[in-house]
Amino acid sequence: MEQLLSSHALWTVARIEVKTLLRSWFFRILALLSLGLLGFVNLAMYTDVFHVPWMFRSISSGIPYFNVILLNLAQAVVASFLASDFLKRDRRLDSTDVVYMRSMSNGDYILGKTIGILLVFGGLNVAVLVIALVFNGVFSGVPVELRAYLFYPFLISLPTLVYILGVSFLLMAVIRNQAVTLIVLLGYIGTALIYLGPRVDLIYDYMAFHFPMLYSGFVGFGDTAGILLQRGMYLFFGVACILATVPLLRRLPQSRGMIRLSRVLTVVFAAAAVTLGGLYLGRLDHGTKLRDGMRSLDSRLAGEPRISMKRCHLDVEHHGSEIRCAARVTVRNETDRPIDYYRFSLNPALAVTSVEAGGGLPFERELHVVRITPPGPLAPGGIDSLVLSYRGGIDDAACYLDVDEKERGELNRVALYSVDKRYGFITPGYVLLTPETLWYPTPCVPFSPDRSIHHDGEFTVFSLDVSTDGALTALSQGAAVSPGGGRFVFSPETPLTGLTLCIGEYETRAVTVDSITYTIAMRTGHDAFTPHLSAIADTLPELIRELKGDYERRLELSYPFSRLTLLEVPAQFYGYPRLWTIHRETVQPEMVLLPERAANLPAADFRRFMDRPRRHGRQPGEQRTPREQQIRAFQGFVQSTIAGTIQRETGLRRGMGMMTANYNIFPGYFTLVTHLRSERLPILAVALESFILGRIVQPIDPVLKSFIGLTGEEKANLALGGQSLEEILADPKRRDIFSSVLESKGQYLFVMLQERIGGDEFRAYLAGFIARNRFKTVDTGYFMQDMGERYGFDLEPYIDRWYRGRELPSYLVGKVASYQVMDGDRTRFQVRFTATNTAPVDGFLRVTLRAGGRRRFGMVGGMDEATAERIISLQGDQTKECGMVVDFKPGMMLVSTLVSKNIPVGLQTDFAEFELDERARLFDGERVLETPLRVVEPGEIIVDNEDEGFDGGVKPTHGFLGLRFRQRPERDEEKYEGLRFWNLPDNRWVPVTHSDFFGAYVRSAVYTKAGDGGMPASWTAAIPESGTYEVYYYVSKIRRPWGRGSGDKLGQYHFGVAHDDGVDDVVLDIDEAENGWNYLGTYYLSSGEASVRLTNESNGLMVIADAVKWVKR
Amino acid sequence: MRIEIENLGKTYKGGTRALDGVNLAIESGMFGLLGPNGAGKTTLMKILVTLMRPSAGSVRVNGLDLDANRAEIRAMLGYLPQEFSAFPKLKTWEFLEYAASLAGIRNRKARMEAVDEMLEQVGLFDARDRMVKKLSGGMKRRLGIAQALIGDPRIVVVDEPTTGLDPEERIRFRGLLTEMSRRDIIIVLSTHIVGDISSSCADMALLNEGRVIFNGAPDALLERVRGHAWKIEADDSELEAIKERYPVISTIPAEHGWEVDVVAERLDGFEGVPVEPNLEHAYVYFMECASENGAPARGANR
Repeated sequence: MEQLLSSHALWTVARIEVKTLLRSWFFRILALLSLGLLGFVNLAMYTDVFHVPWMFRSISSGIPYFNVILLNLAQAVVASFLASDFLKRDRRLDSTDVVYMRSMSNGDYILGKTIGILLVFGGLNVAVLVIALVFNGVFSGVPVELRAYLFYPFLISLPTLVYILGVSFLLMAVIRNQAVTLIVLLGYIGTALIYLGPRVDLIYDYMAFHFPMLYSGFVGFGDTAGILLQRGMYLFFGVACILATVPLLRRLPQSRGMIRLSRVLTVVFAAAAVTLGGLYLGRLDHGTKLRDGMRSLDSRLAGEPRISMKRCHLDVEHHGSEIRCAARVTVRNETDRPIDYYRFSLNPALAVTSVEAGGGLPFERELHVVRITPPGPLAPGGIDSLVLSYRGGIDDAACYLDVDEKERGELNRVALYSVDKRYGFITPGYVLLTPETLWYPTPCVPFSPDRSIHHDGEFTVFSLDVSTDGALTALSQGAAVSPGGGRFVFSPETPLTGLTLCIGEYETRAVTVDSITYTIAMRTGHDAFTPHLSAIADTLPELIRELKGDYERRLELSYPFSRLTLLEVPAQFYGYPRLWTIHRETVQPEMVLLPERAANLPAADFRRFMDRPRRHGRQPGEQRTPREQQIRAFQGFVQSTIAGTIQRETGLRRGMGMMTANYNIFPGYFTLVTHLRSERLPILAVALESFILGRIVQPIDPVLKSFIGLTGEEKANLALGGQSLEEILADPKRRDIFSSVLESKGQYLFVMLQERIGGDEFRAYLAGFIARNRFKTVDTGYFMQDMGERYGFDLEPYIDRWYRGRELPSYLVGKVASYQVMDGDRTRFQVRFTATNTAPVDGFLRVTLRAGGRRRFGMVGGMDEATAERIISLQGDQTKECGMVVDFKPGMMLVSTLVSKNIPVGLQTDFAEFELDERARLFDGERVLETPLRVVEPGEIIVDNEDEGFDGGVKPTHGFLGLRFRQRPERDEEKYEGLRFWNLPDNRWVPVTHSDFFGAYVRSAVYTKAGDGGMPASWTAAIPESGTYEVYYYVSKIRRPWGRGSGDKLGQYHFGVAHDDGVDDVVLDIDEAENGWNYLGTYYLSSGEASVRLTNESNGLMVIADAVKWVKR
Repeated sequence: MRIEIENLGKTYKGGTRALDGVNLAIESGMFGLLGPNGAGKTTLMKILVTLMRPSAGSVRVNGLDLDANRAEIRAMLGYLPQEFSAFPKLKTWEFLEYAASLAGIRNRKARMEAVDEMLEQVGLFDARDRMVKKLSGGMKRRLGIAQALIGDPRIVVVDEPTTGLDPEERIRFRGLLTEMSRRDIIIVLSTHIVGDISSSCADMALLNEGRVIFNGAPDALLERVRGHAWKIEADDSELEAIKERYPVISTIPAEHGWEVDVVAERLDGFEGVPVEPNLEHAYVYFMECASENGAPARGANR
């Protein structure tokens, strides 16, 4: 029997490979660079040297994870180089002959080399992880998760290395040219990383760069099977490639057996890899098919009469990775037809074992639907009780049928790595079940593709009896009693839209304020927060009272539950934004599910916050005691996370720190408590939610807005300019703007009602209506009828116009005057302006005066600033003068045009000093004027950048293969870009909007980077009659809104003004110019065409081309 | 030990015929392979050390077919290739230790002892910690010899081992080989330096254009040329004529012109004195005259 492998020879080869690799400069440089770079990154990330956002540091396993994925990027490249090098090196070195003639098999040699390389990289991984561990343990303040240190190198590095080594060996053996091999490999690596990696369900992500592998302190990996399949696939494929190289080695084989074995094993491993890959994709495919099936089943059943579940008592036993439940439900027929079958939805992974009502009832199961046949039809108004017994787990694939598959497939990137999206958990140590998982029977059909905006919940009286492992704690809604032995009984006081169950190793802290119990439940060992609030324990009730008071004053609603639990849940728990409501699964009745270690919540970084005054140097008089610091930290956290304002869409979707809306308790005040239902106008419920939500929504930060081009609101307006709400909602292609459109239109409808009825009266009515109808499902028809009866008008035509109308108001807003006025013997602040609605439909302006003025970029929350707000209604073609008088000194005024053709939607005026005008009379109100505002006065000719006569030429530069890279966007919504102050466009004039620009209702301009003068923009006007004309140019002095932006040089603009005698060069110094029209000169122009040209030459940063005006003398 | 080579042929891809019907039987002891560059020596040796597969014929080692028993035969081999200058980044002792380990010395202690002993023998002990790349040409050669000899190989194949060695080193190396050849091993030595063979080999073969043109003891080779080696005294004009007619071994300036050593079947028209031939005469005689005289039968002395 010949020897196939000799461990002695194999280790000899490996040993020498290790030695030579460790001595190669290439490897040494790489190792030093990686260690140095990662050391520096660790230093930056995990110590207090730099201010790195909390999300990068909060989760323990993130530290080794981050280190290993970065190292892995480097080693994937280097290993391929080294691997291809060794075969080349072997050929070049004539001393290789004295190795090749030794007695060992080709298998010994190839495997020895492979093991040598792996050992060296293993060492590098260990070194990197030791560095990470030091930073983790000593500096980061984050507990060490040792298991993660073990898992990541084996799950990320090992398969990557084996795979890339195998592919490199094989390519090198086949191509036999290192340069070509390397080019092919590097091309592949780059493609796999950037292009293929994040696509096609991550099957191509061999480096696991995008693959979600965050290890949660609660449940470990989010999808262990998926990880093992994908990583195993690459590992096996790598082994197959390595084995395939054995027969290809250019050395006379020693052992035919080994060659045969290598061939056989190559096939075996390749087959195993293909199988694993197939299983991996099959799992995803299973999900898609399941959801398709569920959706079509739902739509098939959508018209069937359904029962209502009035009561539901759940007995739940938690055993390992399954739950065993008995649901005692009471159902009622609230339709006007008899019901033959009771249909419940239940997660398909939960198997129904019996249905009983006295005796056993026959039932059928199809996907998630359980169809029970009662002894006889349930008559209208009839009530029935039955017990459903079921057991099993939760199939995540059955959740979120309403979310489209593309969004579902998108990666959930937190900081630098991806996190799985999981919706429910049942593991031996942890359970989290929200209503979306269908963990208990619900009679309603959860999704109907035909009625995508239908919010179809109902209220049920729940009770819950849970038994689990004695070491675990169960949490749910309602008053909790724990008789011990792992048993917990929950009795919610009110009917609920759904029940959430959570079981785990939790530590809870509770405080009761004004008969509401506030609980914070965190996994044992995860509390990095309360130690930083030690000094305010006695103040906490008062702080909570204040924060709650502030929030409720603003929202004009009161909290309907008697407890609020902040529940820490695994990092992988994910709730999608819904199209038709602000509510996500992260907020449940009585509960907010906060991410593991508050990873997404910048305000949870208490340690940094406490440290901040020291870091930025205290200013005299700004010294704060630790207690004050803690109060600020606590307020900051609550206001920015749970009970504060919500930043309107920022455009930086899923960006850093912008996830605050996920955890806002608003749905607990409204959406989960007040249920408007309508077959005919489901949109009304959405509109009402939007309107009430509007009270806590902050307009988008103007600075941020200027960077992002059009906001969702503006895109919605552009869309609504051509289509009615009904049309947009019926067009699935417009889903991207659904939520913005619903938000804008919803607010608009109720602002309209509020104006019709009167602000205070309407507010009081609405508050009363909501309070009266808590925990009930109310038909929208009843709401409309109730309001109509009370105020004597018919809502129907309003709503009809609102829903089906295509016209939008458009406003001209004139210059804003601001001064101090005497009111008796005190001085007050007067602001006045004129506005015209140029369209034939009614509209509203919301005017806000704010004391603080322009916010600093990136500031969050804060409701303590003095503000005054007024809604001004403008009927079609109406002009009004408006005045506001306030006691605080306003820093800015924002006129929001709501649903309108105006862009930007918000027109902002900044105030500097208010001079006292003793003669001026106080004017607080509005009056109708006869003369409308005009953009163009008689005798004037204006050409704006939006007009035909404007030409913002594109520099004739062509990209690769002569193609122009940027194409004109098809829709106006994509036309406007953000105004950047870095990386300015230098080869074209880019359209941007800003409230300082000139425009009738679209205030836009084009801008470009200051250049050599080779790229002109020109305005051409038709001059009706010859004569002397004054020529003006519209200037907006726009500077960087941060840093020392106010010191930015705006530079000189170079104009060429065409006139009868030629072209005059005119230089306008923008720094010296005024905002608005600036005089360029007076010229004689004959009738016909006249033009003004502006080049991109300037000694400032950028050139803005806006509007030119000719005025006849 | 015995190596039997039968009808061995090797044709390279381009059609170059490097070996053509080589038949040899090599017994224990030193075996010299003599031949000009391109005669096929290196090809033959590469086939012997299993780096190359012959196109025809077979090689048997102690009755084992080379092609079918690579593992066993490789375990017996020590090999020094002709070119031996590029190395991985290893120290002298490490390289030798690598060779020792691959040669099958499993015990680490035994291996280190063998390495030290061998370094001592080739005079590299003082350079044991030096990187191989930093060794002088001669030292590299010696290291090559050391790695070929380590681990007690039963068959040592050395390709032009003395190239690049100074005379003293060459003598020491011959001594080393002679010492080893007393054991029951085969040492195959290729060279184009005739002296290497005459002083140490009991048996030899002369290769030309892929064929064996002589196989036997060096003495037998000499015997064949006896009577065909001449010394001619010539003046300048004669010298040119001699050079044109006969293979010249050496030309030494003499009192009245030149003393020219030639090999020839007989001298026509020149006055010459027969001289006692050495291997160089034999070599040249075979190379130059063989084709005219018909290749000397192999094993001519048998």
